Amino acid sequence: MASVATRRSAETWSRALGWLSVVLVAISVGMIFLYAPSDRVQGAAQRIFYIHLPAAWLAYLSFFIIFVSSIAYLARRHPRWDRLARSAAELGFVFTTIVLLTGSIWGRPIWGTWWTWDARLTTTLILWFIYLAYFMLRAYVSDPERGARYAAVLGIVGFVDVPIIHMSVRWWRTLHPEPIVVRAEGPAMPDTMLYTLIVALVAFMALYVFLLIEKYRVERMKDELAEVRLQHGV
Amino acid sequence: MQDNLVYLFAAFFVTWLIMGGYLLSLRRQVENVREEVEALRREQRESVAASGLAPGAPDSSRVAASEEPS
Repeated sequence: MASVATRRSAETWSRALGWLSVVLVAISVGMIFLYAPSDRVQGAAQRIFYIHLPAAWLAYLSFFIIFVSSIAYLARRHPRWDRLARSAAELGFVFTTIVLLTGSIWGRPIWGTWWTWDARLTTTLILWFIYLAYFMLRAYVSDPERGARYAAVLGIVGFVDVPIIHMSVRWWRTLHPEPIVVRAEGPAMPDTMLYTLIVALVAFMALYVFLLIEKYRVERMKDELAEVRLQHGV
Repeated sequence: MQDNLVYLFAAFFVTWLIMGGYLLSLRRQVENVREEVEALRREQRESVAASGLAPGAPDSSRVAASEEPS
């Protein structure tokens, strides 16, 4: 167990990161509205891209963290890995919800519909349901150790959906555009748009790390309390 | 294209509403843990008082209490 001094120091760093993410988000919002140029075809709605894309990447990152920590949990059975997976799952669910809603709002003026059963949209919705299943599995299995094991298996199997989401726009004919940032030929956008996107990504990432640390701390305290209660038969 | 601004603001509103809601839920989780620590402390004090143990006896609730988030 980490010493109180180490935890206090981690708390200070986390708080500093929290304030840094607030500043970065403010800068990012300023850039989205004042610095980034307007898209000639899509107009103002194109600026949704600067929140939609970072949220999508963080939703994928969350599932990658769940995938890695689930493997580590099954191999080592140390509760810290399960805690990390639990924390990342909650954040992944939040960011996947943001991706689906901002995508739907963006799609309305551009595609003329709030929703379509397009491959990218459908596979992202499946990811949202996998996150939901992950929480339900944990909630319905009464033995926490068994619940953690089952959730780890779902975390590993469910990760398969992430590369499918990424490749869906290449494998199937979709309304959703192909990747314009991660491409062999380089990003297909002007520099001003790219810089705005980079700042938005950094801001969202700082916010994500801050929230992940805070959520992990809460989960650790819950585990320690449960352990104390168990030891004392309370 | 002016109409598209409504969609832009709606997307921002939804995003920050969800983030705000999540921060509130995280805060509530922290408060619940704090309340549980308090309850545990109370129970510990009561059981110490009932059994007549010395105040310096090991008190495991201190471990959890020291981890209280700010």
